Amino acid sequence: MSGGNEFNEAPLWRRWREGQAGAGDAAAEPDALTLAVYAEGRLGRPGVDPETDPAVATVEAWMAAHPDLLADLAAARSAHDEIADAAIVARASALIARPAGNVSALSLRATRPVWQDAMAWSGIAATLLAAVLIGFQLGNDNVVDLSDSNPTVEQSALIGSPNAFLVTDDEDSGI
Amino acid sequence: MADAVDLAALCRGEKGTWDAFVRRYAGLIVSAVRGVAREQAEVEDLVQEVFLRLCKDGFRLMRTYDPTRAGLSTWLTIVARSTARDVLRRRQVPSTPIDAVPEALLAVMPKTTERIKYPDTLLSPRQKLVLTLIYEQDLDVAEIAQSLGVDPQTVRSTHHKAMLKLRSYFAQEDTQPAAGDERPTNRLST
Repeated sequence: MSGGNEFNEAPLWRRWREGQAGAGDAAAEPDALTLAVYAEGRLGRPGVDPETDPAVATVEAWMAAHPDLLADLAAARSAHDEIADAAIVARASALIARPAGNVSALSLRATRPVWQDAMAWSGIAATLLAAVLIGFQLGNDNVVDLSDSNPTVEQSALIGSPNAFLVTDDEDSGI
Repeated sequence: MADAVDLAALCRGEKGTWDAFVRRYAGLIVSAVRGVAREQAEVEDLVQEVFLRLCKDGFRLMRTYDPTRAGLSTWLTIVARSTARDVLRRRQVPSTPIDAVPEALLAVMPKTTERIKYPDTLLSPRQKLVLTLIYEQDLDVAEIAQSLGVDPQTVRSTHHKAMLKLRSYFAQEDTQPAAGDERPTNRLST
């Protein structure tokens, strides 16, 4: 640490600094990727003086206001591995769960040929259509039979009169 | 340091890729976090927080990484240290009961705004950074050069130019009458 030895302009800097209280607070915080690019010396346009490049200036303005973050850049440049505990690795691995068992069933379903699906749905549709047609035909035949002949007493009783519900028995009328 | 990792598979949340990623980079993140942690016991939790931040919200943070712009190790180190600092800051909740705090300390003080007397654009961001590191962080030229990724001579030159500006500015200010708030304008271009 020889900053104070090589340079002796501290009073001038302090005078400037005192008049700059609050300045730099509004500097935009660069994101991690921008800092990483800066740490690798790749920020800014080629051929442009880094000191005048806006992207570099943004990072350096932020760093001037937060000089303690300079350690991040130094650490990023000298990034190195340690041996991580097995417990740390296991805990972090567990953040993403293994696929559930039913996922394989879904994948089997997806591999079934399309024509089998088409046949199955066609069969269901044909069955429904046949049921509708037969039902319609039976109902239609009954209506035709009744309109073509005079209904017998049994048929009238079976079918009933449209007004049958409105007819009241004498014993009920007293209620 | 090989940074090869299938980012697309990782961001899809493929378990095998995630496991390989964790095995590959856990050591790096431990190392990065250790420089921020106050105690050794905090390291494991902080590493977990970093991995959690990387994968949460459908790997939102991980998706911001661009391998064509920076190495994964560099990016991960910065993310790890930033996350660790955030976590430690959140944990620093005041533990003193409010009844134990003297009333005078709880009084609302009138808001004072300090006035910026000198033009902020007089020094470039790099010049401010270099002067801050020299005079406030007490770093030497070699350390600053290493931190900024520049030549030591560039640091000296930046300091020299900044001081020329400041001397010129204050020389004008000192020779002007004290009346009024008029400040001299900087005529130096560099």
